[in-house]
Amino acid sequence: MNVCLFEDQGYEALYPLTYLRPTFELRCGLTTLEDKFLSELGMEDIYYAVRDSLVPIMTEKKGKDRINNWEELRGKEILLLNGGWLIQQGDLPSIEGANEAGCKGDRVLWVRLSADKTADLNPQRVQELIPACLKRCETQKDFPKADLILEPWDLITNNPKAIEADFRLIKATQGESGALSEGVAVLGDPSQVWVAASAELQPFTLLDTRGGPVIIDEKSVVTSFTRIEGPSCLGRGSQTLGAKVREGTSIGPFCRIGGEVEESIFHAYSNKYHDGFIGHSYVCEWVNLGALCTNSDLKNDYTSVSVYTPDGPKDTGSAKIGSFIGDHTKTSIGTLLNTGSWVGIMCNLVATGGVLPKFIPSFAWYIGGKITKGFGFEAMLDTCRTSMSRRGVDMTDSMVALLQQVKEDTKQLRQEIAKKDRKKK
Amino acid sequence: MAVDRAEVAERVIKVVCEVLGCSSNDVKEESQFVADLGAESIQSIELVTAFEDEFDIEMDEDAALQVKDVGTAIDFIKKHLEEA
Repeated sequence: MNVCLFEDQGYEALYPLTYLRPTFELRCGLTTLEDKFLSELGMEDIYYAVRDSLVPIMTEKKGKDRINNWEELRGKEILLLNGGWLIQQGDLPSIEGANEAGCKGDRVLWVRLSADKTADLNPQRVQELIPACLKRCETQKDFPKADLILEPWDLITNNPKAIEADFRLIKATQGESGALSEGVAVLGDPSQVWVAASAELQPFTLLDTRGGPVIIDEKSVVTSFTRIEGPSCLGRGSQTLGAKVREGTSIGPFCRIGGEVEESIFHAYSNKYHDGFIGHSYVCEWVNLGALCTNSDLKNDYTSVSVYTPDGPKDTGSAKIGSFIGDHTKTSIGTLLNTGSWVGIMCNLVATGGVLPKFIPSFAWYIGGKITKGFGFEAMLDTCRTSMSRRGVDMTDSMVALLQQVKEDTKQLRQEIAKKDRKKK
Repeated sequence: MAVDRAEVAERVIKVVCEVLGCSSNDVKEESQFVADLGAESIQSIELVTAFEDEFDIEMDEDAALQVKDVGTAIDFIKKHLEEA
């Protein structure tokens, strides 16, 4: 049986989080959606089907034979899994069984086909794979309660549950928690804490497990006067600096977090070193939030928050939604992000004292109260290379090419908005 | 379309003075935006935006940011207007 994680057409709705990564690499809980599949499957040798623009970077990560390798799906028993599915323990369909698909409404969660059904399977692109497989299914089952990530804010609302599931998994697979050092206090049930043996928790740290578990992963550092409320997790190599980490927060690997964060996800390699509040937000990689950068996650009239996307405003149906911030974006000191803000990749936001516009297109610079087309691409890349090299990570040629592609794809919208803003007095 | 360079120069210098807060007496054709007029990276973006606004043109930001001095900016914008 060959298992393949696929990206369906929903990736566009998840921008800016998915400009530079497939849907299944999004974080929810301690780990990514992909990690959860691999854990449930109990195997690592799987295949991936992604949009064409991601093939070079995914090939770098996984190897050429693992990405869009249609040969390995043809004439084989296959199980295709939607990478946008936040899988729960026991959700996976059995490997054995009829030629069948599992769906949530019109979206396919999984497809299982026997070898004879895939003998003439010949997709050229990921968009052709699922329709071709669906035609070969004898039955379809509906799973209306499956957690499919359809919008960026679905990651935020599902995050507490995902942290709790990851806590159960880490306790089952990694064994008991390391000992807490002297001076670390636990408010609530101590068995709801899991700390890696290599993590450093300094005295006067408070772990509050009354609302859920707390995970402190390998080689992370929690400095004195940090308060972490569960369910929350701190990823490998990350640091909190006297932070107030409120419930429902996932801090991915190699982040530095200060100030107050609540119900938010920091993907990886991002910094919010100083004071300021980030709530109900998803922050991608290589983002730097300047001192006192703060986002609103609740409107003054408590009504449902709309997020302004490239396709216009979308009602989230939720009263608490913060910001969605794309990779490599930097904010100046004192930046104020409005409720439901959408900030693209490689943006540079310079505060003016007021609240910023709710939609900032990728690669734009917000200066003097106006959205501009931004600095030249090469100069922006130099900044990215500098920030990445500080953490020992190289910017690869494939990533440069992908950034160029996204810049080109988003050019028209950026120019239109910049032109409109130029006229503002 | 022929464009009067002197007129472009006058308008470019006006924009430079507005954005960088300097006197027109200090702005020469050979003045470099960063070294002589003290422009920071953010002001470079503001200059590009202000030039686009003044002349109602769209400039490629990579090409525009290669322009280092006032005289080259005048020629760059004049060429842009002629090709429009």
